[in-house]
Amino acid sequence: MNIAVLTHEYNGGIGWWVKNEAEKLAQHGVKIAIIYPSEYENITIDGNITIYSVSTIVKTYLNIVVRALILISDFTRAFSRLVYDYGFNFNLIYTHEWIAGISGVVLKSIFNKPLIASIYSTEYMRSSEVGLLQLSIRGYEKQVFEEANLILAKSRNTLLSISSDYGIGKEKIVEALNIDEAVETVIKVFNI
Amino acid sequence: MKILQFLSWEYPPRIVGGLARHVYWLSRELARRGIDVIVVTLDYPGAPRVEYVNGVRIVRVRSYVLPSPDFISWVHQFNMWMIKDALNELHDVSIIHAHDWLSALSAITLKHALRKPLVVTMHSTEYGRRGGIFNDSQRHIHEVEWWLTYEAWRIIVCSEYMKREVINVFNLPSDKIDVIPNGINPINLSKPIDTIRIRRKYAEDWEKIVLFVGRLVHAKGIHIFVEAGIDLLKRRDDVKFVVVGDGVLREDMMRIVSERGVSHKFFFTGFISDNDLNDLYRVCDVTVFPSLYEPFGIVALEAMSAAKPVIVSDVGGLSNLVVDGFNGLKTPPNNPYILSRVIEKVISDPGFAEYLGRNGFHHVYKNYTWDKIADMTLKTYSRVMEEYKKSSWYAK
Repeated sequence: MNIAVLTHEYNGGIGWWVKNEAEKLAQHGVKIAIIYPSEYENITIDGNITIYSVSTIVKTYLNIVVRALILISDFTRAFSRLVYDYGFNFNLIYTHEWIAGISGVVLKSIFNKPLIASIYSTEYMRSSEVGLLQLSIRGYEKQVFEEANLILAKSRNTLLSISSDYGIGKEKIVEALNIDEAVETVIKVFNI
Repeated sequence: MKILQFLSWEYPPRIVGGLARHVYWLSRELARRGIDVIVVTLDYPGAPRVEYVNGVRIVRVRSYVLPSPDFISWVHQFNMWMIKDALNELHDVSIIHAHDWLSALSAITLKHALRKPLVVTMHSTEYGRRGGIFNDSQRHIHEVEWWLTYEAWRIIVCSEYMKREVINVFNLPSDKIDVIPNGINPINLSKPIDTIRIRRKYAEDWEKIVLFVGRLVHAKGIHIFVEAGIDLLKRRDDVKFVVVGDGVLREDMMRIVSERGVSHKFFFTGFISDNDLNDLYRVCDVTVFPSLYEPFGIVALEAMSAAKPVIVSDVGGLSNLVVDGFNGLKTPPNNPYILSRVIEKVISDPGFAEYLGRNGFHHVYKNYTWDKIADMTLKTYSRVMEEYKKSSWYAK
């Protein structure tokens, strides 16, 4: 089993989660490739875990939506290199938050692999504003939720928001409050 | 070569600028040579999602799916749909051909996803359009343009001037760039027209028609044209200045000619149909293109194809198109007073005007028909495919 993990940051809370979850999945014999944007291009392979920092040429962003959309191309470049040059045969695409999620949506279309969306919070939870930016983010979030085969909600409130604010059926949303629950769910759902 | 894919945000009937026409005619000429061409573009009310136009497969993708906070976000969003909605069409492509930064995201993504070579036509640059980079929106577009040219296997530009510009602005190696001019469809001079009736729509019988065609923006030098006209009117009255096109400066220009008491000598037509424009080219006496920034200058070629004398400012692509005193006349940019003297010289000497027009006409037929442009583009594709087949990507 090969999993490509896409995250827009590899530090802070998400970074901690991604790193520890990868180590746990690796213990189950899963080969993990973590891809995240960085200032420089680098690939580190350590046993079952490969860490790919993909360089981003575009540095100026007007807003987070533009940033997320540009990442589609950077993530695709990294994903493609891992497939063609490093022999990864990915079975799953695993994204964290909507920012990497929309890259997951595109990669799912291109490579025809199932998509897991790990969601910590939603725009409805983060902001009560209803400007074009917030509406845009909600739209992308909905796109990710609709296309994901499995959504891992990191809190009860997140699960409820995904279900009620975005109209996503609860059958594909699983509450995973910690790394063990997330790993267990992924192993169970995808027969690892 | 099996399939070429064009990524273009505009294609008829969605026409924003010259890009739609460029992609339409180039893809049509390539299809005529037996190349399978797919154009991926944006939807348009009433236009089918998929259709064949002159042998070219047109795939239109959704352009307004999610709200966008600004133009740049919208551009990158429709690129996402270009990838997702058109993916099934693209697996057999040999080359991806993108036009300008507007299709950069989909072009670069598909290049890496499909591992196919990317050819990019840079029609202009943000740096050139703005005269520099002054804010974050412009900086973002500039960076995306840099990225696109970096990712391109080869880059096509329309003039030697644009080649210098992309080398300077993006630090590109010159041997990565091919200069292939824009093509035009020469005006059909054998089609009979009622010259007197058409002339009378714009001018009195005794007036010479001096024609400007272009967007009414600073870069096109409409303010130079108006100033030159006002200067010329101080010396002679038998001229009419016809301005075709629209833009942010239209109101200002109309106000200026009104304040100077010469509004009856200027005719601002706004946008007119291609047929009306072609007729106007044929009945005018001289055409003037006083641009301050012009990557190519297709309107000057259109005027030449009508066998009319052209007066251009000595900048950009216009400078490359015109051999001064042979197929047109060049004037220093941003100088309305010299321009007015040059206009006067041409309208005062019909024999010289005819000489310039005739030479311009032959120049266009010899160098700028789509037939010739398609041949040059195919050479670039062949070179790219030859190199690509030796690369590690081809083996995989």
